[in-house]
Amino acid sequence: MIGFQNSIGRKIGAAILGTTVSALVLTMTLNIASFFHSYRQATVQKANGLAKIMATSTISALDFNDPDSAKEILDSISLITNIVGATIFMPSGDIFASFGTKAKSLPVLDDGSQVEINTFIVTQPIKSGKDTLGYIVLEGTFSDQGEWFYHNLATSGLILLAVLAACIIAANHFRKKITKPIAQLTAAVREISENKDYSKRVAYKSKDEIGYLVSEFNSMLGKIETRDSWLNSHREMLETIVSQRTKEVRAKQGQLKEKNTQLIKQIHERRTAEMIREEVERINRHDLKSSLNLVIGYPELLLNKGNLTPEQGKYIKRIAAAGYRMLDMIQFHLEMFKMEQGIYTLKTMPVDLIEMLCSLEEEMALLLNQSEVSLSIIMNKEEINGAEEVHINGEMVLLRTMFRNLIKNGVEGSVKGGKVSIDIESDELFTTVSISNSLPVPAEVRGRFFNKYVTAGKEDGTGLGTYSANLIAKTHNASINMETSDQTGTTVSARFAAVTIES
Amino acid sequence: MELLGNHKILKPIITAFLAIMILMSSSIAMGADTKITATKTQLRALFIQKIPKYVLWPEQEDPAKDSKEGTPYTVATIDKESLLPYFNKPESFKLVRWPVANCQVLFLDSKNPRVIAAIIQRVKDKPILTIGQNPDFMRMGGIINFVESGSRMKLQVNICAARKAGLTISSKLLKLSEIYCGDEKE
Repeated sequence: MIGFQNSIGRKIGAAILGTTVSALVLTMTLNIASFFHSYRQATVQKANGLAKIMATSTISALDFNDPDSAKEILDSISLITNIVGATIFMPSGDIFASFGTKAKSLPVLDDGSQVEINTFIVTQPIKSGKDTLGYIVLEGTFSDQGEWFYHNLATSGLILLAVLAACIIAANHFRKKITKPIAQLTAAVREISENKDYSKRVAYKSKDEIGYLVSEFNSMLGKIETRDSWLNSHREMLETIVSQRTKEVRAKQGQLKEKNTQLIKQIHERRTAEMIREEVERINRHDLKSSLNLVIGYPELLLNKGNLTPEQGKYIKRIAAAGYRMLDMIQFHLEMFKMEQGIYTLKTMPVDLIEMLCSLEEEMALLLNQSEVSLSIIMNKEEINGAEEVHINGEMVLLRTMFRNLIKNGVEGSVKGGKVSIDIESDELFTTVSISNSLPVPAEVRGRFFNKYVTAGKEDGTGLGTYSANLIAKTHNASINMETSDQTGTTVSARFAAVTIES
Repeated sequence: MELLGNHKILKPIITAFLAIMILMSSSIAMGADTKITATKTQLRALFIQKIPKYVLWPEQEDPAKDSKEGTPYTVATIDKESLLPYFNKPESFKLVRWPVANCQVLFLDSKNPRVIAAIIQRVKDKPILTIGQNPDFMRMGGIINFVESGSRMKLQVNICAARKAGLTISSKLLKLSEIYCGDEKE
């Protein structure tokens, strides 16, 4: 049994004893006070009665002016211990006779008595018929009130001790009876708390509150036991799952690590390949440029020497133009690489779209003739005459490459006798250039029309035309999109921010 | 110095002051004396008026039962004139001259013992309270006798005579009195 510093038993015992003792002390105090007051009242009433007797007895003495007789009567007061003095006054205020402590003067009292803490005075008129012969004044003390008080106090104390002893025995009995089941309950709680053994039960049955408490506690223990076993099984299951998952995760971590190793290896290989490719391209460009110098330089020499027929001059010029175009393409290939990497620095300037498109028409005249495809440039629903001006901000060479590729794609995507339309629409905000041709984009490449190296149905297609057009448009912050169907053919539209040229 | 020089003026003033003081003190003494001292006749009259309170007459003769209706005690005396100034309560006492047919109290103030004895003999069986002031009054069969004792007046009560007359004397009165039966002191 484990002791508690402030156990319920002690509290119950203290409560019973405290209440009982308090009630007893209060009752005894009030009882003593009440008896004390009654005692004083009774003493004063006795004194009043005595004064009346003395007044009656001394009438004859006053009638016949016999102070000795009066004194003799007053002397009998000596038998009354708490009366210390008696004085008979005549109506004139003179003292007729006295005993013991003599009153100095006739006191004037409203109700015939004056009560102090330890003394009292009573007066009584001495009457014979209607005549007032004098007054008797009795002075007394509550001399025995202290003795009476201490006697009562001692008696009360003894009673209190006796009752207290009885109360202690009774309180101890009831305390044990009340706290026994609580002690059992406490011991069970402590044992359960220490051993975590929820199979314990408290063996106490009663129809009182403690019995109900014990019953509910046992019921609660049963529920806890059930839940505890469920939790244990659940915990074991969770531990198994966690163990399995841990194994899986570790396996996947190994796989991931292996893949990461492979990926790093691939990246390293890719970088090596890229470096090799770049180096090869750089070498190729350099070699091509060296060869192109001859292709570009000799037509210039031939043209300067003259003696050429107009048709020969025309062909020579076309050779030179093709050389320059090839040079541009080699140069562009490098710039495309920069654009892909996002490191290209755009050298923007206002570019006249009409002039550029007319130049491209002239440049592609041979292709158009061979393909038997006509080119139509329309602005605001009307065919242009070459004098119009529509400006966009951009780099001439790149824009030229972009539209060259798109027109060339359009021509190649047209049937013989067909037409490629270039529709220019310009408003305050945007300038949109749409290039349309009659044939649809093959279905297998529609979804990746602007992707790199995507080509279909062309013998010499590099798969870079639409890719580079898309790259250039993005570099110019322009949007580009393609719409194609079997009925309406294909339209590629590029939308640029409009530029206003101040005159 | 000036005051000392005027002692001739002060002397009669002081003498007059002392004379006034002496006169005042004597008058106060006289007043006090008159206050506490009564004449013997006055004292006797007072006693005669108080004694009936302590005496019980036979029922048919007791004027007290009728006193509430205004019937006073009839006090008979030989020398009515000497007591008359002190009987000023006609509603309580009626002072008459002896002889009279009916009275409750008879004060025998005669100095002649034979007259007193004759009157007592005449009324001894009647419920009449006889009061006297003679040394032989008890022996003569009188009921209450006034006796001077120093400056005070005391009472002697003949209870045998009272019993014979059918009167009952209160113990309160007997307590103050010397009790006799005839001429023998009890």
